[in-house]
Amino acid sequence: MKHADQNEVDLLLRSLARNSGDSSARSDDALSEHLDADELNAFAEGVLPEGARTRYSAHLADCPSCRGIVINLTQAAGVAVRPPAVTERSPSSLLQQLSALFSQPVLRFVVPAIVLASILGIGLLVLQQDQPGEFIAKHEPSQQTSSLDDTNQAKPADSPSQTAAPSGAAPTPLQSVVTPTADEPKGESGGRAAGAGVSQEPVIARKEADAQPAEATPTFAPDLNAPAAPPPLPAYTARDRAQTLAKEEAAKREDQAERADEVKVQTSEGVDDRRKLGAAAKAGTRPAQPANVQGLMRERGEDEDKNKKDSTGRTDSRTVSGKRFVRKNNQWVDSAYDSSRGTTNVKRGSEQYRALVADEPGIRPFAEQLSGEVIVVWKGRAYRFY
Amino acid sequence: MSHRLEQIDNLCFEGASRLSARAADNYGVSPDSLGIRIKSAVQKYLLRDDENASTSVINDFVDKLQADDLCLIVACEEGNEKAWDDLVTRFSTTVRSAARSASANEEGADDLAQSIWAELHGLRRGAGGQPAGKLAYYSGRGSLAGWLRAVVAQLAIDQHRKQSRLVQTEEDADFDRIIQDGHDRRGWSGRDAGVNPEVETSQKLAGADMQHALSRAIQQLSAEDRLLVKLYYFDGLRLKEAGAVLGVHEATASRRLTRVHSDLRQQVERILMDEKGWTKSETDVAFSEVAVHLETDIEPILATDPMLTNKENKIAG
Repeated sequence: MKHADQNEVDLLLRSLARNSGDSSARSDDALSEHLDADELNAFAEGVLPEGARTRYSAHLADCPSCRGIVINLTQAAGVAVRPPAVTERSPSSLLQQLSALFSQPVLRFVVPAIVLASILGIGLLVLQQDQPGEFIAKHEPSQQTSSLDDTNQAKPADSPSQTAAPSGAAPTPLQSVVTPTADEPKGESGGRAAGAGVSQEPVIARKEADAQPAEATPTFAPDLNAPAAPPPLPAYTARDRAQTLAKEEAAKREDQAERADEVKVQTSEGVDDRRKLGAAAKAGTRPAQPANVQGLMRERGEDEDKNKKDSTGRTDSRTVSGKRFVRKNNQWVDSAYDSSRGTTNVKRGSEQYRALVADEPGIRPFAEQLSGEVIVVWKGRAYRFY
Repeated sequence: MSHRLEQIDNLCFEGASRLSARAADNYGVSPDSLGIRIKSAVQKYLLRDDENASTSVINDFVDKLQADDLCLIVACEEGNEKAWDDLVTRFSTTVRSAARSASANEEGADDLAQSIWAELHGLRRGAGGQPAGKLAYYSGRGSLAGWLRAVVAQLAIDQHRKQSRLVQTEEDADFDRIIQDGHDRRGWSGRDAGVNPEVETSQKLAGADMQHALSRAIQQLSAEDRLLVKLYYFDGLRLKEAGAVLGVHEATASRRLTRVHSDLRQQVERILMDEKGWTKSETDVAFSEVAVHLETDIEPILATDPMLTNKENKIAG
């Protein structure tokens, strides 16, 4: 209705302008005087004081001639127009400032920035949590020597205070390696000491570990019994050291077993191990031989052997498909094998291997269920899988 | 009172010193000469509307004067040849451009431009040696270029009036005939619609009453609103152009025009009811009926608009 009213007035005004012309306009003669050039220009440029502007507006409304000049001057000069009377909203109150902070344009950039910062922060935290393991291993060079000595010579341990600090540290990957083998009888302090000992062991020399193959050869055995005196070495990662030490310890143990009676060793070695562990547990410095065994097992992929351990922890004989295998020289040797006989070497995965298992499918379980080197006697012939 | 005049004099002459100091080239114009000109401008634009203008208002007014342009014009008025050379050099293009837009052809533009320079230069001194002519009217409030354009436009209109008094051109006669034809054809008579003569007469009378009331209502508007109505409806400017003349944005002009419509409607109704004895319903019916007739008649009117508008502009120019 209001719009219609305005439309009617608009039409009336248009009609009035066309019919009667500017009826309110006074003729040039009737006007006492027109605005002078300075007044016209000042009005057109909008630089008049308010009072003068109103006065001249009244004249211009009634004087088409002056109005025409002002129109031309305005259009020629391209007079800058004042912006619309919209009050600028300035964040005056705290609420307005806060609402401005959470406005959509701001959030569009802030939210991705916060997400990115969170990801970076979590990444840094994870990295920092990995650091303590290395840190502990790096700062125990002197204790490492003593613990190696203890390990090799089965000496009474140092005072527990020496291991107290590392054991009190945050659990490391090394300690988690120890845990699965901690099923042997031991006191709580011994277990804690063993864990502490493991954390100290990674300080063994990497050069020695690298020079020594995973399956230790007999030529290394005598040296390993000698008191080790590793020089201060650069720090390695805890996992590397654990694996290296595990290999070394396994080689030592097998050497000792070989020097003894091959058959008796299977039981005596376990007893010996337990003795050593017990002594170390009492001393609190035993470098966690079970961890070494576990490391060796992990390296050889023999985790499945854990299921076959007996209560004494013996793992040196297995039976596969009715054949009994004995662990000798880091090999699974068929009990029917005569060492005087020659073997046919077959590499797993090779063309020869595939041809053999295709012709003799019955031999396949021995090669696949036993890892590492395996000597199998099959139909009168000895095969060595490696 | 004398104290007030003395105070204003002091303010003007102090302002003249400041103005002379901030001018890039004051052409050696004395602060006294500038002070007289400044005082005249203060009286004309400020004190005439507000006799009690404060010191800060006066100082602000003086400090907003165009220092370079005012010194140049005062120097020209004093006969400074260098100032004249500078004036011609700097503003000949402006004068030429303004003369071309105010003239129908190049020849007329040349004549107009020459007339401007001759008038400015030749009349710079009166018979008594006092400043005379158009140079004395420049206050420095607006730009010198704009002032020169206004001078050219005024001179062009003066020349046109002189010629119009002597002879009414054939073109103007045609224009008047067209307007008269338009008046005869449209109007609010509605005779072309074939309506009842009684109704026609009634509508005609009602339309005349409304037209009269509307004219009076327009006169009762404020100066700014009345100027807006004239610019928009009578001069045919668009809202943007009308807003530029008024110094407001197009949106502001639009809002103001909407309010003016409402004010005019109320005012017309009041005049018709108070002076003609109409009822409210009668005014409403009259508005709607008139609007219907105008809407039906507006198309042929609009069809002639370009010709009319061009002619009006020519005459105004």
